[in-house]
Amino acid sequence: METVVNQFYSYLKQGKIMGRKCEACGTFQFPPQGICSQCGSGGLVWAPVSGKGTLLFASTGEHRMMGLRFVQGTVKLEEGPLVSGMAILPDFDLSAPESIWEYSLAGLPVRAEVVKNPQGVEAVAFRVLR
Amino acid sequence: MGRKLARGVDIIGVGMTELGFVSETPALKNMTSRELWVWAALEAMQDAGVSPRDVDAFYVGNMIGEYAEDQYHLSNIIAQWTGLGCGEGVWKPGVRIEGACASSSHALRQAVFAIASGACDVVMAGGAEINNAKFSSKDPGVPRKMTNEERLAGIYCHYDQAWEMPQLSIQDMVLSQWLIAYGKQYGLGPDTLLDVLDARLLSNIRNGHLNPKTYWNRTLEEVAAEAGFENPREFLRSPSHNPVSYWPMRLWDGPRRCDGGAVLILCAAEMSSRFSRKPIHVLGTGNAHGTSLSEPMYTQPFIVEASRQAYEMAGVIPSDVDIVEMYDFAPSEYLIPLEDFGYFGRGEGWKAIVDGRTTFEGDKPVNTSGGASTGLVVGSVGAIGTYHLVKQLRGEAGANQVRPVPEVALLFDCGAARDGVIHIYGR
Repeated sequence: METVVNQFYSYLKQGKIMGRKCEACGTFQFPPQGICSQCGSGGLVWAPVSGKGTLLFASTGEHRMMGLRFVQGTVKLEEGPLVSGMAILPDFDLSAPESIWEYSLAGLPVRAEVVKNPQGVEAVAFRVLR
Repeated sequence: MGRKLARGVDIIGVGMTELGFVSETPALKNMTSRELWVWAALEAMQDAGVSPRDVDAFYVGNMIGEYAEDQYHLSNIIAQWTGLGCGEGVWKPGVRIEGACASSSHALRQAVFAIASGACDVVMAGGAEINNAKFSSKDPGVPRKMTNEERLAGIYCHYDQAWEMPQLSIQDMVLSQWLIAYGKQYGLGPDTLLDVLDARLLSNIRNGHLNPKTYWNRTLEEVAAEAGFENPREFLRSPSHNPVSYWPMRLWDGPRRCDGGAVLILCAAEMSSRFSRKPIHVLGTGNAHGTSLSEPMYTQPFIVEASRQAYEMAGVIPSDVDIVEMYDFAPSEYLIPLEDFGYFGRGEGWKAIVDGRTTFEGDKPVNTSGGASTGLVVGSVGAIGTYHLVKQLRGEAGANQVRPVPEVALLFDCGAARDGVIHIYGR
């Protein structure tokens, strides 16, 4: 077993968003895990994430520990995985949270990018393209 | 064909503390988790007619003991404090179980398996938890009230620290998406979703008012009148008194986290008549893990799977269930699971809630205890819910007893919106 978490964040520091692909059945993992949940194989190799996906759902509120109001999205990546994380909606007015309703199930395209979270850690966020 | 237990298991005794804050509630003042456990265990053993000598093993659910009490290895302390000796300086087997908010439901599940396997005949299981105070060895037995930041930090360890925390993926946000997805799927506008949220709160809070053991006993009518409103609905729709938290959810839709615990005595069904006049049968149990996410989002496959296991083991179907106690940290964890485990048909849950069918006089009662709106003890939810269901099935639930007395009851517990545990009970 190779080191996965450390390597994932090392890649992010280099500006690369990487997932893992099962050599046996081709299933793409993002975020990476230890063993393939589809076929049970431990044969996983690093593979770049296209970064393309669709915003399925969005919500907004405060991350109380970080003292940050933000938007969170659930994204379906082109490679298959469903992931949740920060959504960057450049024109969204955080003081009008009810307007988040229209962002869900609107088929909005997103692109994954590397950002620094409020604690200064490299993380993946999803920029909504529209 | 579903899995069956190799031997029948009954619940023969239940006990529960009052819920509140160990830093201030008179009945609980200065109690650590071990004292909460002993309180509930004494009541449960008395209820069952057993003594510690009859108990073969124990499972204690506890989620945040390291954080609240600097305490690992609670099991060793529980063995000694509960009088489970089996020789000079030797105590009976047991272990602490941690499964986030579902810790005590997992403890109960392991107790069922210990009996069904034949390894044990009588087992004690439950949960005890401090949610709002910190104890330390520097000042033993003297709790310091947690700050809001500490209360959050105590449960944020249930997130995946290698993925969700750095990515700022938090549960409240996802639970808001469950509601939005449901509304969009069934063509409900935001105002109808708020009707659902209001109806749940009105039902939960009235039930809590009638439950002497829970933490929050006030009525919404009283709270609304104090704030100058004519009725609770106007109060709930007031942005200044009930501000949006995670739209469409509002402040009052959140849980009232408190301290407390509950203990159950389980027994091999073939022996339970020796102890109890009203044994309650554990008909089935199920558990499955998920991620809190799904593509449709208005349904969560891990809940469907946990219920499938439990129904098949129990040999009952969803329409047989007469009453539900459930972990409802957020209103979406009330609405969505009720359809996922089939208490209501797809797309029917919202209307049933708005129409009052989940109130304790309704035909489909939910959370006659008051649910999370009147007291939520992470790590003890399932044991507390089971306490209330056993009382309901025995016809001993007092002011909020459901009539006719229910025959089949379902408990839903959920760790971190992704670890579903379902137990089905019958009389």
